[in-house]
Amino acid sequence: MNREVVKRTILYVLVVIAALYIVIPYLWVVLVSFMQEREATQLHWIPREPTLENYTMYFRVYGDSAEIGAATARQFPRAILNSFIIGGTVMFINLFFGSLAAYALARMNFGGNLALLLFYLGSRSIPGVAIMIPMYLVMRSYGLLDTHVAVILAHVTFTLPFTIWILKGYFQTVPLDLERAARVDGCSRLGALFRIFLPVTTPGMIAVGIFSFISSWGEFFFALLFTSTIFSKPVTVVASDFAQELQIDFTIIAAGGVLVVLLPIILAFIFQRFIIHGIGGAVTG
Amino acid sequence: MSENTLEDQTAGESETVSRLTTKERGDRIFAYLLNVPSVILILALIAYPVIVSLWTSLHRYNLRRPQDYAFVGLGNYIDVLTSYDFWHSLRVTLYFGGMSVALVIIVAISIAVLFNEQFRGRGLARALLLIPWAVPGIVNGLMWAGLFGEHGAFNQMIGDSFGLFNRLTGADIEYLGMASPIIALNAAIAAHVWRSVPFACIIFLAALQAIPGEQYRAAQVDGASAWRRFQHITLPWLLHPIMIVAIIETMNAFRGGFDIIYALTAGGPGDATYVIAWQTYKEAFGRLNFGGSNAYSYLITLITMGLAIVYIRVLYRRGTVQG
Repeated sequence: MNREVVKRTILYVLVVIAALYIVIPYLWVVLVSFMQEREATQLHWIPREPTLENYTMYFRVYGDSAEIGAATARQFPRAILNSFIIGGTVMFINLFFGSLAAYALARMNFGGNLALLLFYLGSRSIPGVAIMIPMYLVMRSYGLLDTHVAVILAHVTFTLPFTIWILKGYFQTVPLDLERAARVDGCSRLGALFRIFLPVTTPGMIAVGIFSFISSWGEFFFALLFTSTIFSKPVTVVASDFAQELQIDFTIIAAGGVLVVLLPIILAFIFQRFIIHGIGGAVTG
Repeated sequence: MSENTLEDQTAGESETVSRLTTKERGDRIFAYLLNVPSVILILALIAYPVIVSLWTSLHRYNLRRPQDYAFVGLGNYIDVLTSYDFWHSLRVTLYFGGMSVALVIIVAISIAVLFNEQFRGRGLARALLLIPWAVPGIVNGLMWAGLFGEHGAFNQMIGDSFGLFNRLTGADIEYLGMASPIIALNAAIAAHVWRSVPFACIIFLAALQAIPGEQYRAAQVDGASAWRRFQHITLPWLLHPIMIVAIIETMNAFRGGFDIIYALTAGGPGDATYVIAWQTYKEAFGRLNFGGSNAYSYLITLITMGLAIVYIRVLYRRGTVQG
């Protein structure tokens, strides 16, 4: 009995340590974002006089504040909108093209299954830096630099192979009988795919949809290369400007950090079940 | 009469055979059609640049002197392979990548094993895992720059423990924070590992849930210790997911160091954190040496592909042994 109590205590202590490791770095940023500049320079955690000052800076869109970092902060609302447009389109393309390809790979034996799967996985193994220059030149020759389209295309290249891989694994767990019944009832293959198959695979689709959206939202490298003005710059690129401003208060960066992460974290929490099951199951299955 | 039926039969049979093959052929074409959009996108945006990149890497091409464009064969590769920059960035990358992959796997397995136990608040604990995963790499870099900055929480804690160590041992080690190459490189690794752990953890958690409970109960009856149970039941079941995580994390370490380096160290102090992705970026957009940077790109691709092949071979050998 006593042994059991000791065991439980150790378990809870270890769980708390693990949880702290996971949240502490980000928690510090959240807390600092509510602090006065002076307070943030002392090592302590709970803001004494919480303030929203660091946040208001981001929403004075037409202000002319000369404060360090104000110019960057003012671009945030528009940049968040850009990220949303880019991420949403990337998600849509992933779901549409990805589910078509994954369906063929999971359900039909057409001789090219393994070759195509290796082609997709192989394309994922090429690092971004390896193709940045030709990709940049391609975008330039089609006049796509500094447009959402350039960033969307770049993000699709690295999310789509992953989407296909995960969806293929997920699709294989759906029983075959359902489509067979639909086909017998005179449904075409495409009809069976859209009307019978895709609706029952919604959890997997949500998982890869959210996954591709969050991947696109957080991507920085291609976005940095392909965008130059606020008309297309996503929020990661705007936030990176803070890294160049040496005199800026960390409290302002912290507020920006919270704003950038807000949407992905909310999405991740809402759809956590789908993400954990979808990704975990498909990768190991 | 009888001949006639036989003929009819064979005719009917051959008809069904040919009808089947037409249907099969139709299915086959349909399957390829479903893959066409994805294949076109990837061919246009990855395969084509890979080929152009190879071609450019065989030329002298610097944007500062664009008219001086000439075929130099393997000249760029020889330049790169004989340069200090390449070997230095490769060393930094191998340290960064090796440490990252090892730490991600160890930390993620530990947390997964822990979060697989029964305890109150387990759902919340698992949900917390999604926080680091949702933080974009560039924000992660800025965040750790804050944590290790002059007034950062981690910087002060480490500085204090150095002070304590000096006081206790009478040593005189000066803590330089991010101005010290070792601290800067390891801070970058800490940042990268923190963000990479959740994804690996989710994979390991799923794998742990697939282990049949009887195996543990049988081992417990036999009086096996917790460590022996982990060694002989858990670990063998995790081998396959470990290889998958190792592949993904190796790729990420070679490409994904970029965001963190950009925001956290910018390659510094000096060239202490010049990972190969950063070196390639600097070669292209700092020195505008497109020929040379494409040679770098190709070498990185070859290295990561080589590592992937090694992993996959190990993975499939394990797979057959497990049956």
